[in-house]
Amino acid sequence: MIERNLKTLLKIIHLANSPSYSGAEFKEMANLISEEFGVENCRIYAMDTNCITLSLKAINDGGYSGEEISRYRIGSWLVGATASKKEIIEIGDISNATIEELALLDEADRYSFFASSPIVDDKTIYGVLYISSERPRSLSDKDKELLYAISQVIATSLREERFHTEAQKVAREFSILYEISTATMTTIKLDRLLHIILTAVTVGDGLEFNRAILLLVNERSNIIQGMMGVGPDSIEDAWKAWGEFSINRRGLLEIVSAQIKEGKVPSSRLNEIAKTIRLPLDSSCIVARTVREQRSFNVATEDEGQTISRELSEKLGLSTFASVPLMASGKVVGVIIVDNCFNKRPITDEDIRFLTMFANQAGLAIENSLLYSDINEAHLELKETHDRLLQSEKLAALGEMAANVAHEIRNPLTSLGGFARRLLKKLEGHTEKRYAEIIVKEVERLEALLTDILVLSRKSAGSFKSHNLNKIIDSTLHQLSGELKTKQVELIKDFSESVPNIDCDSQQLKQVFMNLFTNSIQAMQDGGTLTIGTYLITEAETSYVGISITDTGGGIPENYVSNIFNPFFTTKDTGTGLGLSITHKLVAHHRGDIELINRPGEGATFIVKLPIRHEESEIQEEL
Amino acid sequence: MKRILVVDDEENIRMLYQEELQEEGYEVTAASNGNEALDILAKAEPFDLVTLDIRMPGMDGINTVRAIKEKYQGLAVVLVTAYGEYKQDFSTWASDAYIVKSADLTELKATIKRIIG
Repeated sequence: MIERNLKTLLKIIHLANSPSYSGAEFKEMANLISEEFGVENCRIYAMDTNCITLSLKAINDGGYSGEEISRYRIGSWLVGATASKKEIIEIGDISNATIEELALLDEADRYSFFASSPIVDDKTIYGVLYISSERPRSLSDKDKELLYAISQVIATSLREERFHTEAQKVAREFSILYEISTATMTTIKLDRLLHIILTAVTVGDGLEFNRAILLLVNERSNIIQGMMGVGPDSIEDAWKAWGEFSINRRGLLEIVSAQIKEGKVPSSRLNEIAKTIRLPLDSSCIVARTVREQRSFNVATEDEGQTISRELSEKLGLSTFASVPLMASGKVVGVIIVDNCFNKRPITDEDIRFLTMFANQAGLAIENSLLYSDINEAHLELKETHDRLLQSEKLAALGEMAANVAHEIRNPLTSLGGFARRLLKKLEGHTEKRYAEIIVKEVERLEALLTDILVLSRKSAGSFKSHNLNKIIDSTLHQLSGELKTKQVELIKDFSESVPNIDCDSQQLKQVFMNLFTNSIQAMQDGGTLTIGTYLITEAETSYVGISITDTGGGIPENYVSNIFNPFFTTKDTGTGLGLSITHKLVAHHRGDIELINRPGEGATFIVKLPIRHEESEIQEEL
Repeated sequence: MKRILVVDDEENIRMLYQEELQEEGYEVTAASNGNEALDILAKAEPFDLVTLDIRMPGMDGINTVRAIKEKYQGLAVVLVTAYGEYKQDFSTWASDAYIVKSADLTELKATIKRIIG
């Protein structure tokens, strides 16, 4: 008998020493045990790492199997009680059982004999070994010793398996983190980066959350701003997405690239909602606290409703969720919110640990990206300023030169034209009169050109009075009515009646509008539509009147755009190239601004912005 | 007959103004710079009006206006120049009129007529 006991124990030890990691050896053990003790049922339960639930690991061949016996909480029923007491419990015959004993039995109607033994090593409980049979029996001390010895062997086996699972998990985490870091390094663009991060949090072989929302901290405005959300909109979408991603087992980058190509993410409703979230940093909401306290929260119970802002709970339907800070150089740059609203899988501390690890890496990548875009922005701004400076310097230099030339030319031109006029009088009645006429005409043209140049180069004062811009525009249009008709240009006036009077030199503004309108009309050689609008703009506490002049003349060729305000630049056969330069100068003289919105192939819109009030001192100084 | 002194450093302009203004019925004398103009004003019979170019070698038009207005308060001065921006120069305010030089003398003639008839 002892020999048999020893043989069984040796066999079990042998099984324990050659782990299959598929659980096959546990079934074999259960078979051996049921045979050894002559019972119909032998089951091995394994404890989870949180020491809460015991789940069925193996059952002997021919033993009873049913859903109801697959899982026990610690402390409940026979299996749970064995785990919490950490000692063998035996009920030899159900007909003699006490009420306390009966309370432990959920299979009392089926069997008479029950025994269970804790699977423990020195301190940790790894599971419970359970046997039962229809026929009553009683365990001898030897039997109990054997049962206990077997349990200890199974303990080494379960521990071994636990280490193995743990090691595999760590290896998997490392490979996921590696893949994420590789993926985040492929881009410096924030949008793409956030997309990669959130996909990693939600895909099947990533962190496996149902939904993830990323928010970034805006320190200037003290808010937390939703940036992007990734996740299915409904449970149907969820099943489809999970199927797709876990079956394919594609790499993270591949999934993200595919989604971008398919335009999937921006169209998700969650993403649209996520972008509208704005949460004050000082709010009592968990998400704001995640930033302030630099730690993660796992809101597991649904009754903690008041800890989350109404905006979040209403827009996202958040109840059970986790919120993890995105850290970069010791600072919180953002927050990732995750939940499992579709499959209701509880978020474990393990999940949070992994998500935190991931968030630190993601935080760094985001900070890099933000720094990059800051630098890029500053660079663009600098370039723009530089260009503007160059433009104004060029204008000044050109203007000065033009003025000097104009002065030198004016004197000889005066005598040339003056004497031609005298000739004109003397040649009355002669055929040669028309030669003199030609000279007079040409000199007039040159003088007009000189006047334009002088307007450009000098700091004209003009007389500033309060005028209604709509009226000035109307009177300019009146002068052009003939031209509009012959060119078959339809005029649309979209004047705002609420435009207030502005301090301006009406003559100068007339010239501004005359130049702009004439240009637009000339751009529409085959007819078209000229739309003129006036409206009120308020920018940085200053009010402006805006005037937009839109034509359908095909726009300005891209390569000309940077030159249009330069003096002597023209695309017209007969133009002087001074019209827009003068316009620019006169608008600048009113402390206004002029800009071009060019739509090549369609048309161009010039927008003139004029401030309503001139600073008193400025006017004084100029007059 | 009203007497006009034309001051300009360009000989052609002097000739043009002289001929045109004589045809308008004025007696016209010419000077080529400010100093010469002041000499003539001091020696010759009184004038009714002076047309002054601004940029001239020697004494320029602005200084000449000042000198004339100090000595001959009743004498009208018309500045005729290619330099548009002088219109904003306070020194030119002493003159009775300011005209931008042009081959078309209509404005000049009209101005003179308005001042001295």
